[in-house]
This record gives sequence, C-alpha cells and structure tokens, in this order.
Amino acid sequence: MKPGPFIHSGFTTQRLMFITTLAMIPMVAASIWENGFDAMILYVVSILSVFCMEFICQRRVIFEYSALITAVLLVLMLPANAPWWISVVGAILAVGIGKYFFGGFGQNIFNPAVLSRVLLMALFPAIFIMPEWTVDGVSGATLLSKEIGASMPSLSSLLLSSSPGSLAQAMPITVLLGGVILLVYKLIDWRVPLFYLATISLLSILLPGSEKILGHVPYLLGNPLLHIIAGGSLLTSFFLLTDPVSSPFSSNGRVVYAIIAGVFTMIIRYYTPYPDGAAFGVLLANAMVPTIDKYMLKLEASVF
Amino acid sequence: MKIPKLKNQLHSPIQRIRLPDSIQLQINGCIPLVITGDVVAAGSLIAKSATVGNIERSIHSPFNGRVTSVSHSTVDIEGDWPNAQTSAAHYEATGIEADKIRESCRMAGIVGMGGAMTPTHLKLIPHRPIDTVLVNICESEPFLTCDHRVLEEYPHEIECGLKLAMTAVGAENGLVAPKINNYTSGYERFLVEETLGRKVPVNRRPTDVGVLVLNLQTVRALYHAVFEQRPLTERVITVDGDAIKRPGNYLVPIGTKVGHILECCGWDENISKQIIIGGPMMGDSADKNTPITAGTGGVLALTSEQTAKVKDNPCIRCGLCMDACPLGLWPGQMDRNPSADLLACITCGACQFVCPAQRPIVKNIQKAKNAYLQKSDSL
Repeated sequence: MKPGPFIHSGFTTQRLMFITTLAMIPMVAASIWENGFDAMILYVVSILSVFCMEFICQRRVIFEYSALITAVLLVLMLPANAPWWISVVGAILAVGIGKYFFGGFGQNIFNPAVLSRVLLMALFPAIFIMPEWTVDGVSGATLLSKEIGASMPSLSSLLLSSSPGSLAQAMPITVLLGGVILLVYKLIDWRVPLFYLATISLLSILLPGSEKILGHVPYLLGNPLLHIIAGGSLLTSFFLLTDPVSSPFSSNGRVVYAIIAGVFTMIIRYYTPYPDGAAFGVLLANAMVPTIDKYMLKLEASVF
Repeated sequence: MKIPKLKNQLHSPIQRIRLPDSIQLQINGCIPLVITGDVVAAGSLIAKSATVGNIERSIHSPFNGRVTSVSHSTVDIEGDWPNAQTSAAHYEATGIEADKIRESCRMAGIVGMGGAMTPTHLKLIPHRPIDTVLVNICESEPFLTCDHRVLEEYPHEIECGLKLAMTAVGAENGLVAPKINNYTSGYERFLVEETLGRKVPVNRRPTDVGVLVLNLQTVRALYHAVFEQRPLTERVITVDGDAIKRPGNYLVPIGTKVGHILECCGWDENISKQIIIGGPMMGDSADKNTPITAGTGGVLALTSEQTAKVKDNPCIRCGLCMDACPLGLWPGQMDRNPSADLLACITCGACQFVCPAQRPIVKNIQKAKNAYLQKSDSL
C-alpha cells in the first residue's frame, strides 16, 4: 500500500480559520466603535457561551477558531440593541442545534450561526422588530425596511456610516475589507460573492415591486446598490455563504448555490413580511447543497 | 494550489557515489544463479526469471564481489573481493536490427526505470502498430532532477537510445516529451494527450493509440546495452532534503542501501524525520537497509518541518481535493461512497497534499478500493 504523499501544502484548517478570524476584526471593531459597550457585552457573552457549549458537547476544554468564528458571526447578525442574554440563547442554538445535532464540525448541513439567527428571529420576534413597523407586521431592523426619506443616500455615506440593523452594518466598508482579505488569501471561492451579489443586483432591477415595497420603501425598487450594501448581503456573500462545510464541493456547484441563495434572498425581501432575506436565503441554499453536489458530480464526472 | 517543484538540484552535475561495501539485489520472482560464497564479476548474471512466453528478467551484479547470502527474494554481495576480475560483459552485442535490439535489451535485463519496472523488451514488441516513441522527461515528482541531469549531460545517448527503440517497434517518429508545468502531466495517459493530442481511454495503455512511452533512463540503458554491452546495473538518483548536507544527483549501483547513500551525502540523523525512497508524492518510506532498485528515482531525507503530518481532522468539504484531482474525482468522499471511480484513481496524492484537514485520503482510497474489488469479485 502506498503511504501517500510525504509533503503537504501547509494550508490547514487551523490556518484557514485563523485568517478568517483576523478578517473579521475590522467588522467587530467598527461595530464596537459605533455601538459602544452594548456591542462589546454581546461579543463577550457570545464567545463565552459558545465555548461553554463546546465544553458541554465535547466534554473537554477546547479552543477552536471555528467556534470563535461562529460566536462572532452570530453577534454580527444581531441588532445593536439586543439584550445580552440573546447571545447566550443564540450560542446554545448555534452550537447545540446548528453543530452537534448534525454530528459536529464538518457534518452540519446549515451554517450554525445563520440557523441560530433564524431560530432566534422565530423565538423572539420582538427583538428583531423596529417599533415603528410593528403595526404593519414588518419585522426587522435594516435600512431595507426603514423609511429614510425620498432620496437615496450617497455611496460613501452608505459604505461608511452606520445604518440601523445588525451590528455588521455598522460600517459596510469593513465587511468589504474582510471579504477582500479572504479573497486575497484564497480562503473563499470568488465565485460565491460574485454570483450572489450579481443575482441580487439583477433581480432588484428585474423583479416587479410588491405592495410591501411600493407602500414603504419605493426607492428599493430597481436600486441594486442599496440591496448590496444596506442589508446583510455583504456579510452573507463573504462570510456566511462561503462557509466551506455548508457549501457545495465543486466550483460549478458553488456558482449554482450562490445564484439560488440570491434568488431566495430577493424573493423574501420583495414578497414576504421579512425585511432581509439574506439569512433565509443562506439556509435554503444550504439545504439544497446535497442535491447540487449530486447533479454537479454527475456532470463533472463526464471527464472520461 | 500547485504541487511545488522543489527542483533544488537542477544544476548539480551527476557524480559517481563511493562504491558501497555491500549491496542487496532484489530478485523477487527470479531464480538465483549463485550460491553463498561465489565470486562474481561486475556484469555477471546473478538471477534470472523462468521464461514464460516472452517474459524474462535477468539481474546482474554491479561490481566485483562475493555473494554473502542468497534468499528467495534477495542476493547480498560484498564488494572489493580481491580475486575478482575487473569487469566482464557476459553477452555479445549482435546488431541493431529490431530483433537484435530486443535480444540485447532482454539480455541486459532492462526494466522500466520510471518505477513500474516492466521488462522493456516486452514493451519493444509491437503488438499493435506504433508510430511514435515518446521519452517521458516530465519527472513530475518534487525534488527529483536525475532525469533532467541525464538529458543535459548525455543528450547523444538519449538520441541513440530513442532511435534504437524506434527501430525495435518500427515507429517513424521519436519525441522527447517537453516539460509541462503540471504535477500530474507526467502520467502516461495525460502526457500522450497533451503532447500528441491523442486521448487514451481509461484502463488502456498509450500503445493502444500507437504511442510507446519510455522513461528517459530506460532509453539510456538501452543505448548502453546495445552499443556498450553493459547490463542494467546502475542508475542516476537525486539525493535531497533538508537533512542532507551534500545533496545532488548521484550515479549509484542498483542494490546500494539507502544507509550508504545517506552516509556519503552527509545525512544529519538528528534533524531527519522521514527517509523516502522515490519521490515525496508517490514514494515509499525507507530505512537504512532499504536497497535502491532500478525504478528508484531518489532518496530523500526530510526534516519534521518538511514532512506532512497526518491528523485526520473532520472534512470541511472545501473542495480543494476535487480541484487538485487530475481525473476530476471526489477524493475526499470516494471512500464513503465506493464506486467504479475508485479504480480510476492513480493514487497520485495531489488530494492529500492540499487537504486542509490533513486527512489520510490516499490510505482511505486504497482501503476502499480493496474492499470494492473484493466485493465485486464475490458477486
């Protein structure tokens, strides 16, 4: 039996997760800068809770960057005014249900942080609801649902200034910076953000408006830039969709996957009461990964 | 992610290594023609296989010496035995017609020196019409530079050897395959496709599309056999790795033990973590007593920083193994869903090289392949 190669590229899971952690630092810093002590508390509580959950599930003390990433991503998707205990519940859901229900790291179908965020939204809708929209049943807290006046904000103000919504939206340019770091180190497939954002842009122009859009946020119609920058799309495209465990195996499969996520995101944004469909888009695309893999492998196996 | 070349010894001229005190010839499948205590001369026949059809192998002594032990798989020879003759050619060259070339090749015991070690005279029998002879100089394994040096220093011998091979199979074209930058392009099927544009179907050989692929050093051995009446008893290997103080390309007698080579090249035992015989991708682990065979391209002594660690972390489905696989297979998951894909795998190791989880993919695939073969046999 051949012993296999004796040399290795040196690119290991640990290294991948470590650089991803570094890439998230600008986002975290920006969100703390904007929201102060409240945001800091959320991060600390979330990280502590995730590692406690890991200890309970694995029965040993571990330090893994993947767990740290889940904890930070979870907080980045929370609204800034969320109470501290929400990150405890979020950590329990992410690690317990998102990861160990499926058999642990590497076996999870869904991105643990996204699954946890969606469950939180179902369990505690009040936290994710902007007060002024409750009467309409429009829950959520992003620029996509908030009336910001008749005029569309400028690109620089969109990129640099804080918009109400999740912590990741504190300064969208930091999300972009993190994404560029991931792309430069080739930690993520460039196809995923490209095709995801392209699908969103295209659909924002092509999709006909609904009562929801026309009634509250008419400027969203046919405005790709706002759809890319203002919602959770940037964080989703670089950090959530690209999670290797819950995305397809082959590069062609990842293109299909990104497009599917984009379509779901836009349908939810336009035609459902939920303000931002990015999280749902990720989950639905995650669920389709086994199917995508199956058909893509059949296609690609025609090498012979 | 590309497999690194690490061709550090591209410009080191071939040196003859100090003759070892003793050697061990691997004679698996051959019948020894000597007994313990026999005095043998350089080039004399040591073992020969029973002739079954055309298949025949013969193994010769690389130097003058005395046989110290004989077993069913090995013959040990001790060198510098004072009464031995200085050299002996045990057969006579007969000419350069196709038949005569094959005969010389058979007598000289030439085998494929790329690693497969198939008797070359068999490959020189044209069962199908062959129009092109391709000399494989890809040397895709990292570190190995011996073939490159041989071509650089003995181009005339390669040219003559190639012409002999062309005469033997009746081919019109001879080609020294250009170097291609890809690790897996050295694999015969890809080489033929890339250089000649002929697609070799799975489980077929290049001869099925009219191409004979020969290793560079095999071609040189053919030249020696026909024009110099020298049997195959030595080859050029690359010795490298960070635990070697004097790396380079060395001419070594076949049968030399790894320990002797390491000693001659300044092996630092303290920092040496892994000794490899062959290349770092598809080679084998070795110890000091492992002998060099005709198919060995190199001896490497890697430090612990250079050596891969196998960790078996969970697969993160990153898809890098699939991108690395030259056949477009799904190496990381193939062992879980056994299929005919397993048989297509050439165990090149590119998948395991890139795997971030450091999983033993090649081992898993080989296990699954064996299980799959047993299962399909029993059906």
